[in-house]
Amino acid sequence: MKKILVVDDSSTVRQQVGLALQQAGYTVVEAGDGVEGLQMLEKGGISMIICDVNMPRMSGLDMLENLKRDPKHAAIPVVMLTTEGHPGLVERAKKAGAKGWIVKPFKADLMVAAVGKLVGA
Amino acid sequence: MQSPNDEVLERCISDACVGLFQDYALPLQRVKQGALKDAELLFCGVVGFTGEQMRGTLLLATSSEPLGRTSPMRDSSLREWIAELSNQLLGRVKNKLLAHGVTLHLSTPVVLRGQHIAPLSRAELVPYAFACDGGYVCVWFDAEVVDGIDLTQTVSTEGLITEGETTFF
Repeated sequence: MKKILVVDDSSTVRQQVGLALQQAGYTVVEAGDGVEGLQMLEKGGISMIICDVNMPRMSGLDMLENLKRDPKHAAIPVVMLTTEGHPGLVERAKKAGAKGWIVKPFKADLMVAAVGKLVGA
Repeated sequence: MQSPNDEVLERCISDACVGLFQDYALPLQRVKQGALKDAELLFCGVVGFTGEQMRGTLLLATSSEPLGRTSPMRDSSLREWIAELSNQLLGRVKNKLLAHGVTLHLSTPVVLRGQHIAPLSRAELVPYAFACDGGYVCVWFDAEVVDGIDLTQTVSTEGLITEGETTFF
């Protein structure tokens, strides 16, 4: 079963994303900010990351840039899930190697489809 | 009398709030401030913002019913949900203001709990009040706009991703 890491400082959003993915057959692990997200990655087995942008301690974009610099994790697809839609931030994520951008509130079926497209069922 | 800048802000904030709650299946109706007189606004999310053109704070306060009804997870804490909802509201306002040439940077939300919560602003601050099935929602937008900024001017928002949209790179 593919394991998806969900990084968001809102536990409600983590639960909401987690539930949608679990119902679609994925295993979900959670982190509350970029620092925790990078720690979870070190445990291994992550197939894909869904990541918020504005978070305390380490933002999603900083986490993205960090993990893409690490050859161990650089190939893991990352989709940003955020309230932000600013073209400058989207461009920064794209340049850093993100695979997609979803603006909250998300539609569960579209998010699951995005995950399926990137990592398969 | 409202200034042209105030009219733009009012439209952005009101549309953002109605749109946000609509996306969580709770229609809002704008009401006069006086309608809030007996409303028990129990939870309040506070998010600060800064930018070259504007800085300030957004406060979103609600009675418990609309908060519980919009939460996508029935067992999640209301404290946590008002923080996320205020963040999503300011995100929408921010995206709308981009069309007027304003770029904002958001802080992380703070949550207050109490009865009849209201800010004590330096200047008079009129709330945006809304009624919904089962309660009230109120937004204060306490902003200082830099002198000379004209919010009635619009700029291109090409590349802006809007709420609910998914983009692949």
